Amino acid sequence: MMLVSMTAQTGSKHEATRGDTPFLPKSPHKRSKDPAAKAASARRRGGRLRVLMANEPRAYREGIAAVIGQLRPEVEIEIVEPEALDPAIERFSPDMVICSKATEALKSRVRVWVELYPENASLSVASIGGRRVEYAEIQLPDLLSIVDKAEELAD
Amino acid sequence: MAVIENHAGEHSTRILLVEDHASFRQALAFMFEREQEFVVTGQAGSLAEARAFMRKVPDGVDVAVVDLALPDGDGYELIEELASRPDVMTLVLSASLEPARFARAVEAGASGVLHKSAAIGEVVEAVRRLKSGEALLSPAEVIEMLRMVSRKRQEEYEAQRAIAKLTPRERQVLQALGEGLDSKDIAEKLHITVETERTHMVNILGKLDVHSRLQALVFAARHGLVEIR
Repeated sequence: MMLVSMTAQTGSKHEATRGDTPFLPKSPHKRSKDPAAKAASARRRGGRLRVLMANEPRAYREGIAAVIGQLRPEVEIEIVEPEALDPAIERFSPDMVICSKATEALKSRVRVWVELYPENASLSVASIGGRRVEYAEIQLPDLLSIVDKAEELAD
Repeated sequence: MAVIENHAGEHSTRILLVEDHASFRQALAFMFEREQEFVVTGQAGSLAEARAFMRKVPDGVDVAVVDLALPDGDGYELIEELASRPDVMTLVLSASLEPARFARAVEAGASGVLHKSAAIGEVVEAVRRLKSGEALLSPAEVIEMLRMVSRKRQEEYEAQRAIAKLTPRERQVLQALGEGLDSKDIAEKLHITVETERTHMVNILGKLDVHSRLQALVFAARHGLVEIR
């Protein structure tokens, strides 16, 4: 077991911290030459990255959305019930989706997605530009890092 | 997995989060920390980590938000341990769909229960209400939950008594039933006549107080008497 001490001095009251490390500085800006990334970029409204939250339960969905919204204020977030995932993909054209069960529409239309705690299990799976990544115990900084990667892919 | 400690200001409500889904636990900590009145003094992903935190910082918690399904067991014992500390209140936050589990948590000493389908703001508000001395559950709700626990316990006691009456042969018949065999196949498997198999089955139904083979199978599966293949 790792024991991490965190004091009020090392952690800002308004910025969550993990140990004494602030939540993930944004990764260096890299422009992708991938044609699919350019297509994703073309879909973006006003240049803002779009993240669709459709995972369950609701407390997870809203809590994680609130953190992304606060720590990545440039991101446009839409929250829908899991049943509304496919229509929301059609309507919102997200660059990234967080859900509990990946659908065929999601896999074919969204380049970055996270299947977060499917069936309430601890294992989560992400697909980042076609690369599959498994997380035995995904952390909030991992999710923020995936948001940043989605931004890179979309640019 | 990390136990995270934080130090509170004098008037803050100190919160311990016990939740194994780290990304949600961290998001929840963030939600509390952005409110001036709260400070998350500890985060734990298991019962063992929660206990380690309570040993290390025995007076560091006003409200514990506890999930029931943790990697090293149910949260009930932890809730009992927390309830033994007069200044600590526990809010259960669980994805369970079984009302009996919430009832069991209240019996163990939880001051409130919330399903994870609640809005995140409701969770924060529930802790605020608890700390201000407001009851999250009405006396009638508490009584109903305690009755439910009592009923469940009685049902389990009666089931165990019924199971104890079964002979080894009758258990074998039930196991064969769980393998999907019909009367004839069960008789063949156990080298008995179909009539004898039926006699065993009538006795099983009587002892378990059920009315069909299907009900007997459901009962047996529910109480771990058979392994369904």
